[in-house]
Amino acid sequence: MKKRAAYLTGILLSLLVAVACYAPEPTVTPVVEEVDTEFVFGMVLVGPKDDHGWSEAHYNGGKYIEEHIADSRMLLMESLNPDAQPDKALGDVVDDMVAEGADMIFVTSDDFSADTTFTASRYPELPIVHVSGDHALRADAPPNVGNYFARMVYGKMIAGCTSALVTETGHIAYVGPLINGETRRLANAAFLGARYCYEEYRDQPPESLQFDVEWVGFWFHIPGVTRDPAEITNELIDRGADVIMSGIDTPEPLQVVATRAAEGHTVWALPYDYEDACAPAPQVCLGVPYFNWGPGYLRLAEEVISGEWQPTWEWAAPYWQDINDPGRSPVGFYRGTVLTAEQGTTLDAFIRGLGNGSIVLFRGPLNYHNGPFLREGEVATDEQIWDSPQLLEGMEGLSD
Amino acid sequence: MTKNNSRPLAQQRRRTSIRRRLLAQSVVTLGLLLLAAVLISWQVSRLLNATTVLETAAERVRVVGDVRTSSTALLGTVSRLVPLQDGAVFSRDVGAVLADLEASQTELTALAEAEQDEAVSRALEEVAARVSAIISLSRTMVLQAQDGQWPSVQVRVGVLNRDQQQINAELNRLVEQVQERQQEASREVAAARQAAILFSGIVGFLTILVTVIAFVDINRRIGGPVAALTSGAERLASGAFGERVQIDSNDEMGDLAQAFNAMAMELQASYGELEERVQQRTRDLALAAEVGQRLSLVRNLDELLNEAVTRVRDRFDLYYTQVYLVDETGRNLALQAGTGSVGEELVRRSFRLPVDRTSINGTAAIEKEAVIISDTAQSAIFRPNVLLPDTRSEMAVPLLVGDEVLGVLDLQSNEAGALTEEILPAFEALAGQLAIAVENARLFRQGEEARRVAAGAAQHRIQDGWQDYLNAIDRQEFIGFAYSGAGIGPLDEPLTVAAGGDEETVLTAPITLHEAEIGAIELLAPTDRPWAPEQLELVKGVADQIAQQVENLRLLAESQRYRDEAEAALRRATQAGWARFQETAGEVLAYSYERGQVAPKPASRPVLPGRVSVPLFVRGEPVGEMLIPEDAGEHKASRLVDAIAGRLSAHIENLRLSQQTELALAEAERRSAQQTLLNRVVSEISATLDLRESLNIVAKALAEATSSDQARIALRRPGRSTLTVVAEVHDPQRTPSALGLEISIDGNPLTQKVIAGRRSVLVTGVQASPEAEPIRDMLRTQGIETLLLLPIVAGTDVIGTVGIDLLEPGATFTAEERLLAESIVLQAGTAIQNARLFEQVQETLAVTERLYNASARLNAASDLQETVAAVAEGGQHPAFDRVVLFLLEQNAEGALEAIVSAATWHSGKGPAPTPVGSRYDQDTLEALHLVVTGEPLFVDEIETDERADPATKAVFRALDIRSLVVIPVTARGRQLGSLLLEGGEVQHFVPEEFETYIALAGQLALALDRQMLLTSAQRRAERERLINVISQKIQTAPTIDNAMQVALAELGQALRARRGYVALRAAPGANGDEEAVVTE
Repeated sequence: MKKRAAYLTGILLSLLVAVACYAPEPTVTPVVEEVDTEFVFGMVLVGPKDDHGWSEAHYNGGKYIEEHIADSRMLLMESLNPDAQPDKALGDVVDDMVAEGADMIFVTSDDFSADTTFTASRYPELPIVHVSGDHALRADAPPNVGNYFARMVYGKMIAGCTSALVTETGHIAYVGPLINGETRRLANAAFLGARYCYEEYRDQPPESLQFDVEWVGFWFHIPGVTRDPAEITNELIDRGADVIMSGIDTPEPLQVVATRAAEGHTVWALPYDYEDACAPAPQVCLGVPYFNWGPGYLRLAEEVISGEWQPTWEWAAPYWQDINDPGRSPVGFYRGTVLTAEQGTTLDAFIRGLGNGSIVLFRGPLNYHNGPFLREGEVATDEQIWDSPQLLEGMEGLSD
Repeated sequence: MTKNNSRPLAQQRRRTSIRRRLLAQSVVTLGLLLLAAVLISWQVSRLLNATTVLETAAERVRVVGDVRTSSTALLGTVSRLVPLQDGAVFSRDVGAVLADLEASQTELTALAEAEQDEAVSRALEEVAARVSAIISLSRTMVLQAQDGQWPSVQVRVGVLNRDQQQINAELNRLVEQVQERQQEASREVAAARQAAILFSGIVGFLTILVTVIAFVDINRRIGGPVAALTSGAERLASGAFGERVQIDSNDEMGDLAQAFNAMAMELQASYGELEERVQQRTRDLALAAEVGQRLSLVRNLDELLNEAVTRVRDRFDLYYTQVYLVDETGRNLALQAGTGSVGEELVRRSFRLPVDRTSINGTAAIEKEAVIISDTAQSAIFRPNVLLPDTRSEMAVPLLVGDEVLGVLDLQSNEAGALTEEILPAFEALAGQLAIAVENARLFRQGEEARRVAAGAAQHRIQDGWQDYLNAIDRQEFIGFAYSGAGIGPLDEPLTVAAGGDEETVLTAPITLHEAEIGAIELLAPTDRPWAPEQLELVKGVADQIAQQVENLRLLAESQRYRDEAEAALRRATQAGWARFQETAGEVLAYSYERGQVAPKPASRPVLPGRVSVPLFVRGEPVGEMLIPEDAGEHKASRLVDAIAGRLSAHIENLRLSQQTELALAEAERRSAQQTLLNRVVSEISATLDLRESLNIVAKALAEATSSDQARIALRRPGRSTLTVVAEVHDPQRTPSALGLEISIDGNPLTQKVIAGRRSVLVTGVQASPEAEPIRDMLRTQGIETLLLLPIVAGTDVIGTVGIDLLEPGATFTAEERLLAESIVLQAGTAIQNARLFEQVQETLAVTERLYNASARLNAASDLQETVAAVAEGGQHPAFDRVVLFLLEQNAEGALEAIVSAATWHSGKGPAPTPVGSRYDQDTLEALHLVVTGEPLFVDEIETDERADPATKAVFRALDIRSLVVIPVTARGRQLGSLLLEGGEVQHFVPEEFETYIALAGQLALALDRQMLLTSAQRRAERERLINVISQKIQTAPTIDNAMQVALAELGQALRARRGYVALRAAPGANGDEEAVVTE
C-alpha cells in the first residue's frame, strides 16, 4: 500500500513540475504563408437541388462552374424558403458562406430580392449575382449586386406555339406560380406564341383560342399556404384544357396530366425550367423550355476571378444557331418525343423566325387587361417586356 | 439470620429519586419535541419546494401568455397591413409589434435554459424555435414589403398563419404541462400541510400524555408527603413540638421528612430550655418588683436603704448586698447600708470609695452602667474584701435618676456565675426603683423643710394685711347685701361662694381692684332659664365698675365712639348713593311750586329769606330740603310739613333706586339693540338666520363678486387644528363637492401663512407651488389652478378661511376683486362670530336683567322675609315653591350647634315651608354639615343621596322635600347661614342655573351681615348705657354699703333676677378665714 501511494505521489509531483515548467513558455507557432487560390462560390436555392425544376437547373449551373474551373468549390444552400426553413433568412446564409470563404454568391430566386439588397450592403466587397432580379437595372441595388437572367420569353413562346400546334380543344391552360412581373411576362409570352401558331399554322381564328391562367401562389406548393398545383391542373383539365403549361418550379402538372392521360384523357403537358423535366412522363410531355445556367455562370465566375466583373443587369438571349447548345445557349427547348415530325418542322420554322427577327410577337396592336399596351406596329422595348404589369387581352386569369 | 434480614429495611428497597424521574420525563418530552421539529421542517421543506414549483409555473404561464399575445398581435397586424401594400406603414407597425415578440422570445429562451424539467424544457425550446422562425419570417417580410414584393409577403403571411396555429397548439400543450406540474405541487402542498398537522398532533398528544403521566406520578410522590409536612409544620407552629411526620417513601420526600423530624426534635429541646430561662427571668423580675414595691412604702432614707439591702439579699439568696450613695462633693461613694454584721461594721466606719475606676462600684458610678464580675477568680479588677471572703461573683448597678448617678447597688454572691448579664435586667429595674425611692426620700425631706419655713412667713404677712384693712374702715366682721324681688337687705352670714351651687343657675363674679380680688357678686338665675354669657359679662362689668370707676369711664367713652362710627358709616353709604344719583340724574334736582304750578329750579339757588327750610333725611343723611313760606310754620302745619318731608324723603329714595334700575335696564336694552343690529347685518348678508345657509350665500356672493369658479368656506372648531369646509359654491359637473372636508392646519404652510398673517394670499399656478405641497392632492382633485385664500377674522381670532378658486390655468383675480372679497369676508367674519355670540349674549343679558331686578328689590327690602322673597323670586327656578333662610347658631368656641330658620318664602303652591324659628340641632339633623357646606350643594334626590343619613332623610320626607339646593350665605369669609331651595319633586340640577341665586345670596349675606353688625352694636350700646346708669347711681352713693346696694338693686331690675348677692371678702387666706358682705 505504502509503496503504491508513494508511486502515485511521484507521478502527481512530476506532472505538476511539467505543467509549471510548460506554462510560462511562449507558444511558438510557425507562420505559414498560405496563398488562397481556391475559388469558392455560394449557390442559394429556393427549393431542393433535385426538384426536377428551377432549383436543379441552378444546381447544375453551379456544378458546371466546378467542372470548368479547377480548384473551385460550391457552397450550397438549398430549400431556403419560408416553408422549409422559416427561421433562416438569406442574411444568415450569406453570413455562413462568407465565414466559409465565399468569393462570390449566386442567389437564385425572385423571393430573395429584398433580402439580397439588404444583405449585400453588409458585404460591399462580395460580388453577389441575383438571378431574376432587376435592382441593377433600377439602380437601387448596392454596388456589389448584379443581375443575370436568360430571356425565357422565347422559351415560353416556343412552348406556347407547341401547345397551339397540338391542342385539339383550342383550350390551353397555364399554371403560374405567384403573380409578378416575371410571371406575367412569361405567361404573356406563352400566350403570344400560342396565338401566333394557332392562327398561322393551324389556320384558326386567334380569337377562338382559349388561354386560361391559374396561379398557385408561390414557386412551389406550400401545403396549407398556397393552392395545390395538382388540384389546379385537374381543375383546368376538367374545364376543357388539353394542354397544360407549367410556370412553377416543381413537376406536379406533368404528373397530374400523366395520370389523367392514363385515365383516358387526351391531355398534354409542358413542364418548365429543367432540361430533363419530361423524363418522368415522356408520353404526355410536349417539351420543356429550360434554362441552361452553366455557361453564363461560368463566365460571371471567371470575370469575378479575373477581377473584371462589373455589377450589371444582364438578360441573356438564346443562341439562335442552336438554342439547345449546352455550351452556348442560356435558354433551350427540349422537344417532346410525342410531337410529330410535321409539328417538329413547323416548330423549327417558328424558332427560326424568332431567331432571325422575322417573327416579333411583342408588336402592336396589343392590349393589357386594363388598357392599351402597344399601338399598331409598335414593338415593345426590353423594359416594357420585363415589366409586364398586366396579362394581355385574350388571356383568362388574374393580372394581379 | 439471612443476609437480607441483616440489612435495614430502607436499604433493602430500591432507592428512587424524584429528580431522576423529572429528568427522564424532560428527556422524553424533549425527544418528542425534537421529533416534531424534524418532521415539521421536512414538511416545511416540501412546502417550500412546492411553492417554488408553483412560482416557476406561474412565471412560465405568464411568459407563454406574453408570447401568445405578441405573436397573435403580430399576425393580426400583418394580416391587416398586407392588403394596404404600403411598405412604410407595414415596416413601421410590424416593426413595433415585432419588438414585443422579440422581448417575449428572449424571456422564453431564458426560461427554457433555466428549466430543469426536460419535457417542459423541450417544449419551451420548440416554442422558442417557432417564435424565432416567425421573427425571422417577419423581418424578411418587412424587407420585402419595403421592396414592394407583396406576393412574397403574402406567402409568408400564409406561413405565419399556419405556424401561429402550431405555436398555439404548442403553447397549449406547454400550459397543460405546466398546469400538471402546478397540480402536482398543489397536491404536494396539501399533503405537506396535512402531514404537518398530523405529525404535530400526534407528537403533541404524546407530549401531553407523557407530561400528564409524569405529573400524576410526581404529584403522587410529592403531594401526599408535602401535605403531611405542611400539617406537621402547622402543628409545630401552633406549639405542638412533640409532633413528628410519618413518611414512608424512599426518596427526597423521605429525606425531607427525616430532616423535619430532626428539626422538630431540636425545636422541642430548644423551646424547653428557653421556656425555663424565661421563667427564671420572670421570677427575678417579680422578685425585683416585689422588693421595689415594698421599698416604696418606706420614707425614711436610712430605713429604706437598710430594708432594701436586706430584702435584696434575702429574696435573691445573695451573700452580701450594700448601697453606696454619692456624697455632696460628688467625688466619693459613701456606704449607706450593708447587710449583716459586716454591713453594720462598715457603715459604722463610714466606709467610702472614691468615684473612679479603682473599684467595681466606682467604675459603675462613672460608667453609669452595671459592672458584672460573674467569676471573681477570673476577674482582673476584682479586689477581695477581707470581711467578705466568700464572694465569688459581684455586680455593681448604678442608681440612676435620669442622667444623674445617685449611688450604686452592690450585690455579691458566694457562687461563681450566679450574677450574670441574664439577671441584670431584674437588678436594673430594682436599682431604678431604689434610685427613685432614694430621690423621693431626699425630695420629701427637702420639701418638708421648705414648707415649714414658707408656712411660717405667709401666715405672718396675711394676718398683717387684713388687720390693716379692718382697722382702717372700722367695719364689722363682713359687709354684704342680699337682693330679692322685694328689695335689698343686709346679708346675715358670710357668702358661700359657689359652695354647692349649681353653676348654671348661680352666677358669680369676683370684684377685683388692681388684680386684687376684694369681693364677689353672686346671682341666682330666674327659674325659667340659665344665665347667658352676656349676663355674666354684664355682672362682671358691674363688678368691675364697683371696683374701678376709671375703667368704667373709659369703656363708656369707647362705646360712645363705636356707636358714632356705626351711625356715620350708614350715613356715608346713603350719601354716596345720592351723590352717584345726582351725577347721573342731570341738572334739575330742585322744583318750585308757585301759583299751582310746579317748575324745575336750579339746585344751586340760594335759600330765599323769609322761608323755612325743612331738610329731607334718608337714614339720617340730608339729601335735600323743602323750602316753605314762613307763615306756614305754625305748629300744626309744621307737623304736616315734617310728615310730608318724611314721606318725600322715603319716596325719593325709592325713586332714586328705581331710576337707577331703569338706567341699568336701558343700558341692557341698548346692548340688546346693538346685538339685534349686528344680527340684522347678518340677515342682510344672508336673509336667513341659519348660519350654514348664510355662509353658503356668503360663498355665493364671493364667487359672484370675484367671477370665480368656486368658493368654499372652512371654519375652525375651537381647540382643533383642522378646518372643516362648511359652505361651498361649485359646479358639480366639473369638481366634486368638498363639504365636510377636513383640512389640516399643521404642516400646511399656505393656510398657516393666511392664519398667522391675517391677510389674504393669492397663489397662481397653485398646484406647482411648493407651499401647497401638502394639499396638492386636494387641489388636483378640485382642479384648482389659482387660489385666493382669505382669513375669516372675528375679534382677535381667525375662525376659518375662505378659498376662492379659479380652474382655468393662468387666470387670476384683479386687485379690486380681491379687495371686494376681503370686505365681504370681513363682514362674514363679524357675522359668523356675532351669530355664534348672539345666543350667548342674549342669555347673559337675561340673567343680568333678572339679577339686577332682584338686586334692586333686595336692597329695597325692609326685613329678612322680604329679602328672602327677593332672592327666591329673583332666582326664578321653576323647581322651587319653598325657600328657607337658615342662620347658623354657634357656641362660644365657634362650633356649629344648630341652624334656625330666620326667613321663608312660599310661592303659594304646595306645602308651606319650614316655619320661621324652627331649630335643628345636631341630634335632629345629623346631616347638619350639609347645610354648612361653604359651597353650593345640589341634591337631585334626597332619598337616594349618599350624603344624607336616614334621620336627615326622614326629616326632609316629613317636610315633603324631595330635592334640595343649599346655597351658603357668606359674608367677609364667614358663613352666616344657608339658603335652602326646597323642591317637591326629584330634579336634575345644573349648577349653571343657580348663578343668579348664588349672586343674590351674596347680596343677602351682605345685608344680613350689616343687620347683625347693627344689632350687635345696638346691644353693646344698650349694655353700656345700663352700666352707665348703674355707675352714675353708684357714684352718687355716699358709702360702699350704699354703692353695693344700689348696684345690686339696679342689676336685679335690669336682668330681672330672682335673687342676687353682693359681698366684699378678703383674698383667699392660708387658713381659709374670710370676711365678706353677703346679701340674701
